[in-house]
Amino acid sequence: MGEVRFQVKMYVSLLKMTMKGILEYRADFWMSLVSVALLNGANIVQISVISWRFHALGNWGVGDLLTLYGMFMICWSIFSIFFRKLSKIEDEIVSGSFDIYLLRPVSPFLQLVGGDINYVGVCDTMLGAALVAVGLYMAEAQWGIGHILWFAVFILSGGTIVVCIRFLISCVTFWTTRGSALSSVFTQIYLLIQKYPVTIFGRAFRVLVTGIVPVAYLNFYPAVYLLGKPDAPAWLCMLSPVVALVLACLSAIVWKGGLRHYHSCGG
Amino acid sequence: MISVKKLTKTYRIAQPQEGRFAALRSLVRPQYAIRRAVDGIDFDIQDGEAVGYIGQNGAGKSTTIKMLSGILTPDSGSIEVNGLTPHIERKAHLQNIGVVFGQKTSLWWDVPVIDSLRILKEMYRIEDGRFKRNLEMFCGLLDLEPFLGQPVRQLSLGQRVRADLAAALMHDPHVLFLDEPTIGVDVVAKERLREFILKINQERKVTVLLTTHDVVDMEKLVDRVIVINAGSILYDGRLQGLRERYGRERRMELAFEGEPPEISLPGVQAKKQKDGKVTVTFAQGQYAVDEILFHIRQGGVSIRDITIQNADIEQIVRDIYQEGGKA
Repeated sequence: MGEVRFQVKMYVSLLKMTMKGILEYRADFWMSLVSVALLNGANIVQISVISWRFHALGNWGVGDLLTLYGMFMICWSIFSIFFRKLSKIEDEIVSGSFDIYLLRPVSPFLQLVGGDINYVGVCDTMLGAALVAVGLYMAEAQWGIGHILWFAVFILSGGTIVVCIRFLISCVTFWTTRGSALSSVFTQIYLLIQKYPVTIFGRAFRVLVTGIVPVAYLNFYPAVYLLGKPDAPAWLCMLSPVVALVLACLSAIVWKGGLRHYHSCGG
Repeated sequence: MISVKKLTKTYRIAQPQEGRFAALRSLVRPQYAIRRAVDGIDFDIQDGEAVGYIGQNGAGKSTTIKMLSGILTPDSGSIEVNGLTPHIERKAHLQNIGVVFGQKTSLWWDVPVIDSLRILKEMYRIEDGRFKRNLEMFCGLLDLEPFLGQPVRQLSLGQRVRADLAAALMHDPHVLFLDEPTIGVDVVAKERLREFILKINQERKVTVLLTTHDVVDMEKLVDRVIVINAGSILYDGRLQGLRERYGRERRMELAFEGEPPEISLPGVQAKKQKDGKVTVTFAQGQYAVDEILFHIRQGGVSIRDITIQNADIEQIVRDIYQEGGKA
């Protein structure tokens, strides 16, 4: 237990160092803040455009689709704010930073993750939350306390899932020099899943995004459950935390194997 | 105490493939080139020793250091550092060692040096008193004070290495691994680094293993060297012994008043240079310098200038590198 506390404390300290590093470039930081404000303005415009542009798809109304899109954005932003470095393991290895992580008595995973904080990503979280709110309102969803709890579970699980998938793709670097091919396949899949309910695609795609690269758990299954859609059985939606847990365990195993297999950058 | 037995590390280097779907194929059926970076080496280092680990680029020095510090997992063989196996008991092991790579910093690039030292204090769980004592000591010995508040990216190379050395020693490790600590540093800064390393080794009894290409580093800092070539150990012993074993050849350069004479002594080679000087090469121990000079002067020529090239380590190392250890 003491060890866990220590590691969490170190993660916070590392994030502080990272923030401090960002603040060292003061002008840069203020520019970013200004751009965040501008982005937020643009986001409001974006929401109206999105809701105006979205058309009903089969039994999915505009409100449903906005919820779908919003859920995706929130989950994705969890990755992009805190875990972006996980998709850059290759760069860390090539630059030699990874060697340095292995020289300090703190989890190399936390050092990797703690080395970056993408505060601009908060924009996406806010936009996503706004989209979900507008979407639920438009869809006239009936919400109880259970729905709110499940919403939280879906976000946490979805966040975990996206982080794990990006992480696993990045871990390929430990074994081969090229991870980019897999990464672009993944990008293609999530671009599809972002805006459209999975049911409009064929069965094979549904199996792919449910069981193999379970990105449907970022937005589709949560939306189905929260909006009471008939597209999938409730139990399948409620598997979300289980899927997240399985992926997290798989990630931990792959990470351990990767470290053992790690062969630095020569020299 | 460091004990290394039959240590081997092979790199499988994924070969980039060409043609259609190259990226995909390299994932599914990667092709590898195999390179033995370290090929069954053995050595022991006693507590408090200072050992130079030398060899050409790519000889396996850094790979060894990385295995000793727990970054890399060996293919086979065993390593023990103070009774711990680095890649298995990683965290405990790291409390015992300090590592400095001359080529890259282990400090946080964008924040002041002191902040890096403070977060290391947390990471290594260094008590306040000890941290303060060490900080004061290193500030004094390495003159860190003037740039303690500056971000690492603004430091000169010499300052950066000094800061890195302090960072590697804050937690009082018993063993210090230095991978080319003086590379690229100017002469004055080098001298200061050497003094510091020597002091740490002699006064604090820290075991030092250092890789370097700098001969002066070796002469000033270590009394034992391990020479590695193509993954195998060529020589392990006193620096002086290296000189005796490999430094068999001596060389001197002579400039004459007027025409250079013929030198005919058995075992002595004389080669005329373009500028009129003559390079004389002879085996160590066969002649004394005086004998050769006497022989030349008997011919009635007067010598204007003599440069005697010592059988210096630099020459020896160069010979070893060039011959790949056939000597």
